[in-house]
Amino acid sequence: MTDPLKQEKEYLKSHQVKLAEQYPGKYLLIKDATVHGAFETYEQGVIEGAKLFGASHFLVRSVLQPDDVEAPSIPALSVGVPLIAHP
Amino acid sequence: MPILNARVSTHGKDPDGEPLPSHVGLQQTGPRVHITISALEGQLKSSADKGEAPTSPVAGWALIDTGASLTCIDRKTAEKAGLALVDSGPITSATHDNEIVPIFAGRLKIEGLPQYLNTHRAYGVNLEPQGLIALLGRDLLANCVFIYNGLDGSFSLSI
Repeated sequence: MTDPLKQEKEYLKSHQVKLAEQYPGKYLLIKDATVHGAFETYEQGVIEGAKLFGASHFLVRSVLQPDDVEAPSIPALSVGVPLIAHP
Repeated sequence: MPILNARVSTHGKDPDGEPLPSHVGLQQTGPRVHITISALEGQLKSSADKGEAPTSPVAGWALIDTGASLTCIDRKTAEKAGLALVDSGPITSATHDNEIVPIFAGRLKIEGLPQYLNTHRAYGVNLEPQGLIALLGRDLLANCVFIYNGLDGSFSLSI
């Protein structure tokens, strides 16, 4: 799938040094190529982003984490365990 | 602390035509709960204030998955329920390594329990073929007591 947040991620990555100086230790709410807020916690950023942009996409990340996190461990998906909803 | 006690009932039959016992049903399906997925409360209120059409909650089955480090929501369900797309990241599936998928924020309500549970980071994956709309991972279970009784074919969940 095409990454819906490609532009936001590229913006964070290319401006990370400057943003880290401007918003040390904060979680940034980024939409397109604009920072719409800086927050103490990830949850605060998500809640504010959902209020501002609704179901549209936006990025909330620590200013110190421009790259994607590692894939979570979900064996049911990674090994293709056949899940049965109704026996 | 409210407790949900559930015993699995099955529609399947054994070779003699008798209904399968609960412990077989639980072994086959795992601990499933009926849930409703909706947008975060603040998002719904903000949309209403702006005069936007409200998004509708989506109901369906979820599997309590102690093997999953994070919660997953069926991608189409998340979009239908109008969840906010807050990040994207890699996931490994049976067919793809490090496929980039959307990460959603929303809230869940488990039928039989009064509380809403916020999930600020649920991976959007395809669960439709499994007849599920979510895998409830250890991020949500971190707030719960979960007891699996394989002998009885039942489980308990308390939040």
